[in-house]
Amino acid sequence: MAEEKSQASSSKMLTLKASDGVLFEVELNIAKEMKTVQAYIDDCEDIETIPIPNVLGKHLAIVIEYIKKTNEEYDAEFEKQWNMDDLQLLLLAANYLNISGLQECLCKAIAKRIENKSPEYVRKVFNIENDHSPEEEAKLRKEYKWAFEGVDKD
Amino acid sequence: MVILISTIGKTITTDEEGGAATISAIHPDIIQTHILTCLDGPSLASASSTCSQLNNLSSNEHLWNKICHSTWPSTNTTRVRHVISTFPNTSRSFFSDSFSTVTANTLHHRHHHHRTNLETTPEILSAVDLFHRKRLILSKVVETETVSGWFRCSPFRIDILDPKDSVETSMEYPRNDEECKNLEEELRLSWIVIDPRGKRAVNVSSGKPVSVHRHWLTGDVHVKFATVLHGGEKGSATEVTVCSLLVTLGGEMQVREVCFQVEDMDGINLNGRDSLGILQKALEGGRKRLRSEKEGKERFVEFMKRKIERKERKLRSERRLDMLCVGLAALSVAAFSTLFLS
Repeated sequence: MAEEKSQASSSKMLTLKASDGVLFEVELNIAKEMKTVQAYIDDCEDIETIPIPNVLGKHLAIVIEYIKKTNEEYDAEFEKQWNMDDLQLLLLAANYLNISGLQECLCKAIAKRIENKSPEYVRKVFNIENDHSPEEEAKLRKEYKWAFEGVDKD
Repeated sequence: MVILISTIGKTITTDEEGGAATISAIHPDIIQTHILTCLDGPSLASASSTCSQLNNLSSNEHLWNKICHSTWPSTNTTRVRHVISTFPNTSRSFFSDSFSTVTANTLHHRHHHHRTNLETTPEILSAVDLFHRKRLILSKVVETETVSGWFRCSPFRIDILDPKDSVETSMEYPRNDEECKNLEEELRLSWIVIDPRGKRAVNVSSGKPVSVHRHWLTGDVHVKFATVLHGGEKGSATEVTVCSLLVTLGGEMQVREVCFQVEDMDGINLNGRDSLGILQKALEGGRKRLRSEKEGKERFVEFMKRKIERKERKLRSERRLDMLCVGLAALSVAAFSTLFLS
């Protein structure tokens, strides 16, 4: 009896519902890679559809594909495909779903993209506003004068 | 659970198609431990200049500590770690001080005359790292006192290795000029002079060698690194001085000697007192990143040219003086003889 039940659970399918309503059917072991989903399942065993309110359908699709395919080669190619906005949204998704492997891969990719760039470029890329006062700004420029030279052209 | 940070700039809404993402929606721990740790020194400085949230995250001591140790392994010793911890912004200011070279006109202080103040620098530390093809081959810290009469009056010289010591390397002996040129590209030296009391540091090495050549007699390989410092008294021999670092390798390419001396335009090695004065000015001076890797060598080549010009000028003025003396002598002989004859 127990064997039958475990066999059934390993091929059990789960439905994930993205924030824009798109549904994804995934195997239980794939879904379990997302620790947030795992916590959901632990809480209520019989659940069949799990809502993922913070993640768009297109990003959830990418995340699921990552979990299925992840290995070193795939990771290396993976990060090159996405633009900065997508990378950040994927990182937020990976963070919410609590997938450490994907999170690390995306963080490295983001770090690579801001390597050796000027603060203006970094601000643009991350969509941050400069909230330093003029004095603070001047102080930082002076202290980090050496860092501003030799950066890549934006 | 994701904690949304109070946002700076726009907020994130994932249910809008094409909503702009902002880094501030990501948990700061993640930014710090996963993104910022991947960055090198200048990139981290860039990131911290963007906004106050990233500035706070980037100021984390651990981040800069890690960068300092990986750039200069010799800074991972107890004494140096302790000294760095006393710096105004600890590892971050140490990195800032040591990463780039001193600006060319660092010694030019119009506003105050600088006198070598031995009391303010009773000792200096030298943190030295030598790399070949990016692999570390030598890493050492040496402490040098600067108060004794012996130090002040004798020619300034700091040796990293004891005379009998040598460090094995797996380098190949350069058999011709081309291989010497290759060594120029493959070797890197950083020599950071640390002033524990003044809480400042400066890198006196040019990074890449300014010359590599084999000694005609002993066959030793001499690798020279140098930083040129301007702004001394105009017209004097110390108008421009050079911090000269020499690495000597024996026939088996074992490192026999790594030493630091300060030379003036007449080729004379300055004594301890004067060298300390130069170093103090360099420690206080500005920092600038070299425009290119070759700039260190270009500056040194220019220094050598000026040295030769100065020597020629001196020779010419001596010759003129000689001619004058000869002329005067001839004149006096002529005057004498006319006196006698008349």
